[in-house]
Amino acid sequence: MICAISSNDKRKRHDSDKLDKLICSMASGSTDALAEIYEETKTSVYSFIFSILRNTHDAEDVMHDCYIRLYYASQDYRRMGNPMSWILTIAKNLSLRKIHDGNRTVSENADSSTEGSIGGSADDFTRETDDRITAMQCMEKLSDAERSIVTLHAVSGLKHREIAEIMDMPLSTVLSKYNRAMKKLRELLK
Amino acid sequence: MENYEIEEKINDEFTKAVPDVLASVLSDINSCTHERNVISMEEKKIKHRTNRWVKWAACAAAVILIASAVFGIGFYRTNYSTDMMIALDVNPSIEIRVNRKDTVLEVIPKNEDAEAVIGNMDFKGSKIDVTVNAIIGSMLRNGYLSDISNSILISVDGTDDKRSSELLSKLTDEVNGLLQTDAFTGSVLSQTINSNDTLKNLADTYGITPGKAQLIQKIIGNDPRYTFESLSGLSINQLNLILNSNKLALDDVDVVGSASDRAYIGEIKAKEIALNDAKVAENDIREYRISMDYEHGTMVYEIEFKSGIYEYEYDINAVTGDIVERDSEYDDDHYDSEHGKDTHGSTGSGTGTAGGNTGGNSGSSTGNTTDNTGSGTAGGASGSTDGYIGEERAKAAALTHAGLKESDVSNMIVKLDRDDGRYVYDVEFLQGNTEYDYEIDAVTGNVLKYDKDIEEHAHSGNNTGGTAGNGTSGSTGGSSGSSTGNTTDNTGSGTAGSTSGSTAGNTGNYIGEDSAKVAALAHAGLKESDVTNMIVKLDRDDGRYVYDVEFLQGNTEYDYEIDAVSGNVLKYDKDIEDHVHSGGSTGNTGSGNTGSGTAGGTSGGTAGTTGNYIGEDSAKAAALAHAGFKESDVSNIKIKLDRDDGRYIYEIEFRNGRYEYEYDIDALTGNIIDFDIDD
Repeated sequence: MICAISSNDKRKRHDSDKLDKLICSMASGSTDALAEIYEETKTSVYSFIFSILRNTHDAEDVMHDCYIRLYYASQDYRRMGNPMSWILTIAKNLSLRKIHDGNRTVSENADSSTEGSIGGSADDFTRETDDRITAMQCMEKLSDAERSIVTLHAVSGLKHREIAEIMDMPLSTVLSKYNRAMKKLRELLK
Repeated sequence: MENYEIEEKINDEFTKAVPDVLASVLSDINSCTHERNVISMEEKKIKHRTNRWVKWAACAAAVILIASAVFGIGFYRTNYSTDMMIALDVNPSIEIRVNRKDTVLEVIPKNEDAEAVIGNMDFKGSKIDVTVNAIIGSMLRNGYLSDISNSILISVDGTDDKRSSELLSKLTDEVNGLLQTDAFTGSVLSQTINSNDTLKNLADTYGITPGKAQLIQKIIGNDPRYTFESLSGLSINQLNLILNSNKLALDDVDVVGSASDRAYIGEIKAKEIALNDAKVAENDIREYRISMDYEHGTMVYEIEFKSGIYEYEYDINAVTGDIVERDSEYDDDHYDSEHGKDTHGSTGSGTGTAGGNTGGNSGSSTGNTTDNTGSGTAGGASGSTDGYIGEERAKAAALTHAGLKESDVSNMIVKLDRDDGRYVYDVEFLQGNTEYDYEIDAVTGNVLKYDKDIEEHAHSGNNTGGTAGNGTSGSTGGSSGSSTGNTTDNTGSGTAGSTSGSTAGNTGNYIGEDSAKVAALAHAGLKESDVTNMIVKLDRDDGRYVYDVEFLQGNTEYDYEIDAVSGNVLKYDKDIEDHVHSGGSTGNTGSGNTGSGTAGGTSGGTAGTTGNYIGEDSAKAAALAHAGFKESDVSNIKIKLDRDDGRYIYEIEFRNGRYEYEYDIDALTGNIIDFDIDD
């Protein structure tokens, strides 16, 4: 319990006020603000997109488009206290668009050992883990929604309530999917 | 491994895997916005150009051209930037982007049908009228435009209103001419739009153009019963039919010609079917009304008429002629309020006219004479969407009338509907195992009708046989008791009571819950693994037995009624759930003598099932004990009985300081299955 609480503090929570201000200066054309937003949010944005598309090439493409979209859409941004939701919603829409358009690098049913997946191949960053199973491989075993929910919680440190908003799901669904997913991951990572 | 360790591992792996796209993002943004700094731009461009970002290539090329100072910025604007967007919707949805010279830059198919229409044709560099001509030709060849579906929507989206409307009228004339064929005459809807992010998002989500999104929004604005989702799947011809038949005139949408109804049975045939079913002669009816509508997932003819002392309402499948829904009741106007109008009697006898229901009426009319004398006269106006009281006030009105608090009831459903040409809120909820059904005038908030029913379920495979038996006999007695002692008695319960005995014995004839579930999922095009919160229960509706199948997919709630004998889908309803239910707390009150009737099997929702479980209080105690708190230490306690992985659990949430605790407690054993803490 104690561990669980302290881990929350370690998790990355984004500073909403700071992001709000940055988005506003981005709206007035500042690319420096964009660069700062990028540094602040890149891991969250990329991991969420990846959790939807499950392919590094597509995720990189969409991530690129996402920051361009953020830059131009910032004029329409309304301060609503949760800039991260705004950013991730745009990331989600672009990812779904990518699936919808169908021009994806690797087909959806590609198995986990395809080159496009994180941790699936002997990429340099997984080599060190050697015989250990990566969390990414386990994430492949989750349903699409479960994977996104776990990613948003683990990487972006969002609350379940915020995840529910971004994923357009009732809170209870998010909670039960999250719990089910963590149960699966615990089993797989034993 | 603990949850937080797993999460940390995930976080680490992602942090290492993030690619760096910032340089390329900045370069693309610079090259496309800062036309003023052309020279420096060019250097940057060359340094960073990757060729990967195809959609920015045209833009990049333009920058280089400008830099070489051969042409001015005007050239770039005229030739390479999108000046206007033309959207064509039939069922195929196609977006065409043109520059200032009306030359096509890009043709974007928005759905599969559109891809079929475009095929290998490459329109880049063609004039817009040539392009539209070719696309219409392909639609005719491929049968998307034909005598049974003759409508097309043309939308022009641009910042220059004058140019937009000029192009629109040019294209409308062109298309209209093309659709004057030997076989049929087309119908062209046209509009100019100013698309915004909302429209674009809707369009992207549903695979349509912003033009069609705008049209649907206008229809919803005129008739709030429709949802965007339900209409987005319809073709322009179907939307056009709904517009025609309901005489809806949308602002700023021009319509030439009329929609084809050749695919459907036609109004005359539909009327014949309804009159046959009601067993009334054409000469005996009055106030006949027919319109086309989209309900139950299909195009229907909605027919209303009166005959004698009855008022009939039919929904007839416009393709097959099947009766999807029928309803008959005492005609409010015909039945003088001096007689002490009895809304319960009237609803009860609705099924009575179809045969069957006897005895219930007399019981109800003695007990209940004075409710709702004013009903049936309010309102009458329709068409305006403003001025409705809203779902919350409708709910409050129903609860006040029933003498209940919101916390007493569960399964609350509020729906805007149209009845007798006016808008009403249908409010339904459960208290214990009593089902309340209200119709609230959407303008005045008056209670127009209400109905109270003891819900009976005769489950096959009932695992609490003894209790269920008690429940049935108990409620039969209860209904006759209530018809004398209680002023709000109902005929519905009398009927249910008297028939329930035979149902229990008869479940062998029914298809069973599993088949009902399969039928519903097949209709929805979903797999069982896609959906959650599946509830199947046997119910009676319109004098026959049906399985009510409910489930969630994402936050879309599906509600099916499956004929218990034939397995046919009788009704279906799809709703976006945008609220979190806090219900489920009614079990305790309901479980006394009547709730046990619903305790069978795995279904029945939350009401009545608590008898076997540890109860909310014990569940709460277990969670608090685990967290090390007293009840007074925490706030915002929420408890909900839910089903997870095939078992029932109590989901408990509470707050202490800045932390939010969530527990899943096994409803049978009281064991803690899972917990989570969030700050």
